[in-house]
Amino acid sequence: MMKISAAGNQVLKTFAPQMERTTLREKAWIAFLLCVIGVGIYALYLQITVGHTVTGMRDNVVWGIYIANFIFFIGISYAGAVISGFLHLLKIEWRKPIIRIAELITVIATIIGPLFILLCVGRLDRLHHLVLYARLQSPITWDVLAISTYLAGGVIFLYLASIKDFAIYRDSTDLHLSKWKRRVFKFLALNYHDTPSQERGIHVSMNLMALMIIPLAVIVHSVLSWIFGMTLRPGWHSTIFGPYFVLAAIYSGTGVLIIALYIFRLRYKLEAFILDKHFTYLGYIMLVLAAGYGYFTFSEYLTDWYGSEKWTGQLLKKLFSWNEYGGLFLFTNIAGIILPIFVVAVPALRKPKYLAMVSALMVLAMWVKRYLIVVPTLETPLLPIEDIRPEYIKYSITWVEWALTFSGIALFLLLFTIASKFMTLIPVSEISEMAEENIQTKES
Amino acid sequence: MTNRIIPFSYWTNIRLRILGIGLTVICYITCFSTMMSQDSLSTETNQLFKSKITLSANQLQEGSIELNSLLRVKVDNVYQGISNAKITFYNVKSDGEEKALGEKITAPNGKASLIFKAADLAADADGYFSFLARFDGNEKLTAGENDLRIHPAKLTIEPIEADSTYTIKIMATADSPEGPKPIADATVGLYVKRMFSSLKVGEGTTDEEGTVEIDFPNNLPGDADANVVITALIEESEDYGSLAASVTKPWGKSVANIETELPRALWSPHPPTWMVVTFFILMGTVWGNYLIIVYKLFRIRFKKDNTHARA
Repeated sequence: MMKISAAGNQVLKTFAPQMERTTLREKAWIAFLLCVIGVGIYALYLQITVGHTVTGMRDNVVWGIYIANFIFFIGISYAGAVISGFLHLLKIEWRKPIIRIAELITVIATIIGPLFILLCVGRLDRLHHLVLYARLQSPITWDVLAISTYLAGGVIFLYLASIKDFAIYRDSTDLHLSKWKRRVFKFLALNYHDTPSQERGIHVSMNLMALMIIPLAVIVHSVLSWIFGMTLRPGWHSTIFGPYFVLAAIYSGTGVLIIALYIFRLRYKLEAFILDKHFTYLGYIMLVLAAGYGYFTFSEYLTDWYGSEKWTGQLLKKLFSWNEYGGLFLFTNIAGIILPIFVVAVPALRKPKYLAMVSALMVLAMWVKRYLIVVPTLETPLLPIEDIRPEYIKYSITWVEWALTFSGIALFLLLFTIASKFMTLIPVSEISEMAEENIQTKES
Repeated sequence: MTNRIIPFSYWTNIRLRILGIGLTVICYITCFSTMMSQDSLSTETNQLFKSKITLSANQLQEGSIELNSLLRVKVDNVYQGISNAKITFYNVKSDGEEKALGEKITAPNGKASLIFKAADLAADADGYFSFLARFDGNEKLTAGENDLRIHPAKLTIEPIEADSTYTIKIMATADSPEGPKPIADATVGLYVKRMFSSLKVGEGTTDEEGTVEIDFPNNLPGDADANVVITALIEESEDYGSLAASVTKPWGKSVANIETELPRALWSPHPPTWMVVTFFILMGTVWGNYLIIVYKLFRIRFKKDNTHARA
């Protein structure tokens, strides 16, 4: 029988209804998500049967919103990889209530992200050629290998951190689970009974994974940036693209983590576990990252602007022009850099609600930034365009692309909902005495 | 007893509902507005476009004729080829009767070609062949047709080799009841087939006998056996259409058909060595660690002394 602390017991009781049954409200939520995914499946059917002509992508602008979504989702997967990895290695106590959510974000976002790459592929029937005729020199091959390795790492990291909890769910008499669910937990718990050797095995493995997941995450996003950086196109061929992408990914991942924590704290009344200080600390991390990201952005565009190279000049003109992308570019800089710094810097605004709000704005700005990295460059070709129809020169998002984008978001939320049916969003086995004190304080 | 179900507060409920409704509305407005804008586009494209078909003929050496059609439509002042359209080719007799020669489906560039033997064709009183290419139209394009009249003729090509110099003698003749009649003052181009298209190597004009001699260069690369495919061509003549004749001669320079070994490089099939080494070290390290962890998990699962929990 697994030993469980009073605070852990409290966590288990909080999440028990969620794991035991599905309420009408949850069913409606799942049905809504399935409807959105259904619209996306219809859009995908159209895209496959009619062809990519139903999207805004053409010969000239061959990438659009899908690739922006891909970078975005891989970016937010950093929430678990880097934040929980770092905090685990540094043995920071306050990480414990938030690591499960961070790790779930990592795994689910890493599953969703590559799906958007598949949507860019014109001949899905030749997808296996990626493996059969892979060229080691191609950044696309690097990307396929890096992301699959990263996904495997994320799943192992999440699983290692959950084994103790699975054992608790297996043994708990307070949880009224169906037989099949208990069988699943028995299988996943791997006969874990908290013996010293088992505890040591898990501990060593976790340390090993925490050590590996950080460089792995850095490599994955660097490789992702090299798909652009290795290409001789204005706005892409830059030596700082690797670190720029990595920093942007950790930054947006932190933002998504703050939003997720805020929503779950509100939804499950987790004030005793997810404290204001968690938001404050994550806010500090966000502040540092925002400053770093702002520095990279300034450095990148100042260098390009000062050089005044012909094609880069054309690209910058588009990014600075109100008639083109000026508004969006300004939004990414204000909402993505200045506002987060301002909110965290002013003590009166350093509250969970404001941090969650500014994080939501920042995450949206970071998505727009990915769009601005991809599309304007493709609209600035090095050679004159042969076909001068407007839709070949200027990319515009079609309803098919919007539908598939919303489907991706809906799938992300659906997988999170399903995951919450199989595990507590706060690790039961990790909750410490500190949380118990908080509970007592709250109850008194 | 702790209450397990944690209800939302009244205001949280209201906030969540407003958020949910807001998100739904945004989602649907975005989808439907783009759908509507696309619908309006497709309504625009539902109008009937006027198709345009052109027809040309190429009389080949072995007594065959190649009919070439091009089906196009003008959209936004730009001509675009129509693909997957059925074109029917006819031989029109002197009494106006149309005899179908065959059907072809247009390629993505709007072109369709049909090759047939000229011997089976009916000529009119002047000895001309009349052809017609017809597109029956569909829900988006109007029907269209174009006709063409050509006199049967042929090119004869004769390679002459003397003292290491090469000459091509070409004779152009038109068919007539009295026998072959020379075609004078016709411009003949001489081409050599290359990988993607033909290279023009000479040009001449036929004399009163209908013949012309054109020098052929002796330094062109050929295949492994030094063969080059030489084509004489009279292009788009008003009376005869295009006339073509080909011959293969070992007049080129032999190019050995042996693949040279490529160095390891970014652009070659084999990546640079440092890249392969780095790749295997990185992947081996990461996946090796994964295997160690999986092994540790197996030990947790199957080790026998693991049933005694810590005190």
